Amino acid sequence: MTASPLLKQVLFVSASEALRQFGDRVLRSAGLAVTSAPSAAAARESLAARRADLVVVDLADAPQEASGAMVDLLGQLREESPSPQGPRLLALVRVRSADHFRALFSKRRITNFLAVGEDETLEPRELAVTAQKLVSRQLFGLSRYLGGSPRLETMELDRSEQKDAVVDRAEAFAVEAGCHPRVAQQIAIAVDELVTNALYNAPVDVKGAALYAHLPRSTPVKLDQRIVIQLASDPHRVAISALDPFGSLLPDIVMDYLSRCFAERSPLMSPQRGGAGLGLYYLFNLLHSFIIDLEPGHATESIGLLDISKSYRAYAARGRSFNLFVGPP
Amino acid sequence: MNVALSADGRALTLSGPLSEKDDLTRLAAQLSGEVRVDVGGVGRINSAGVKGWMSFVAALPDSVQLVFERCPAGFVSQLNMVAGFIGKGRVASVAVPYTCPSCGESADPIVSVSPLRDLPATHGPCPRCGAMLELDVSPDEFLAFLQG
Ligand SMILES: [Zn+2]
Repeated sequence: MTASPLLKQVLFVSASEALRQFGDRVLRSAGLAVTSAPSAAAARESLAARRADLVVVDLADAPQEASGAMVDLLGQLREESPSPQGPRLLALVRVRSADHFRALFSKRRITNFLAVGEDETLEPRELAVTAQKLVSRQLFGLSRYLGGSPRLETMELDRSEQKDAVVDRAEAFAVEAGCHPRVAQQIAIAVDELVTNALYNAPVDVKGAALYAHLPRSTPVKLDQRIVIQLASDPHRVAISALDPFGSLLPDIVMDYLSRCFAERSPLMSPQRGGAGLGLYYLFNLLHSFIIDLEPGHATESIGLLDISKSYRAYAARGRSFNLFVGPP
Repeated sequence: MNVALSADGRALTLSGPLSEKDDLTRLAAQLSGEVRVDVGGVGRINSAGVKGWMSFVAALPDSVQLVFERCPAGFVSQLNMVAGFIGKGRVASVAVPYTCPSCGESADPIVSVSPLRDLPATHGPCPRCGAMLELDVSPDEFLAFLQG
C-alpha cells in the first residue's frame, strides 16, 4: 500500500531489523509515512529519490569520538539542512556515558535524541509524539506523552515561597503513582529544578532582558504572571512539567550549558552564567526524558518523563533521552 | 539543613535538605583539623544547594580535613556527578540502598569504604515479607567516586 504523498515522510535508518520494524509500525500508527533504510548508504539513496520531513538515525553503539557511517550521515544531514525546510533529525542512542552525552551536545549538536532500550525498542508513545512534534508546529502539552486517561494535577504559582509545597506534593504524587520512595525523591528534586528555572531564569522584561537570573536563589521573587506546574501519571510513567509565559530560553545556550556541564562536572565554572546551566544538567541526569518546548518570546514548557520504577537501580539504569523543540517565534 | 557541631569542633552532623536556603560559609571558619561529618540524615539536594555547598568546601581552611560518614544515596550521587564535591575530604562510609523485590521495603546498611569492600548483592531477609533484600544500585556506578 502506498502512503499518501500528503503525509509527513519519515526515513528510519537503523542497522537493527527489529528496530526498523518497530519504528515502521509505531510511526505509521502515528499517521506518518515511513521508509526504512538499513545503512547510511541506503539512506542516502532513499533521500536522493524522495524527500523526507524527518530522518531518524540509529547511532547504535558508536563510541562518541569514532566516526561511524551513521554518525557521518547525521553530521552531513545537519550540515546540509540548516533551513526549516530541510528534514528534521532525530538520533537514537544506546550509550549512557558522560563522554557520549557531551559529544551529542557539543560536537554533534544533536537537539533531539531518544534512548533505545536493551530490548531493541523505544517507548512507543514517546517515539510517536517526538516524531509528530518534529514535523508539526504543535509542541505543547504533557498528557500526550501518557496513555489512557492520565491522572493530572495542575498548580499555578507566582512566588518562590510556594516552591516547597509544590516539591513536597510532587514527591507524594510520585509515591502514589507507584514509584519507589528513592525514585520519588529524585522526581521531587526535578520539580524543584523546574520551578526554580521558571521563577528565576525564565522571567524577562519587555526587551527580553533577564529580570531575576542574577539573584541568589535564596532571594524571594514574585512574578507578575503565573507559571504552571503539572504532575501526571499513567500506569507506566510519571510526567512533570513547568510552563512559563516568557519563552526566553535560547537553544544554543541550552546546548552549551549541557555540553560544558558534562565536560567540567563542576558547578563552580563561570558563576556569571547564572544558575540555569547547573539546573539543566541536574534535570537531564534526574529524568529519563527531558523535553523542552520553546516558542521564543511566548512560552517555554519543560517536561520530564520517568518510568515508574519499583527500584532505584531500574531508575538509574534507564537510558536518557533529550528533546529540544523550537516553534515559530 | 540542620547543622550540629560538637563542643570540641571535631564532629559535625548535617541533616535535612540541602538547598538555596543553606549558607554554610560561616561554618567553614569554625572548623579545624580532622572533622567527622555525619551526613546520614541529609535528604534532597538541589543544584542551588550544591552551589552553596561548593562555596562551603572552597572556604574551608587548609588545615581542615572532612571525613564523611554514612553518606546516603543522594549524597553519593553528587560525589559521582560533581567534580570536587568534597574538596580534599574523604568518604569513610556510605549507606548502601537495598530493596525488597517482592514488597518494596528498603534498608540502607552502612558500609565502610576505607578500605573498600565489595557491596554484597543481598542484605538479609526483608523484615516485612522475608524475601532477600537486593542491592538497589549498580556497584560500579555507585562507587565510581572512589576511582577519583
Ligand atoms: Zn519484603
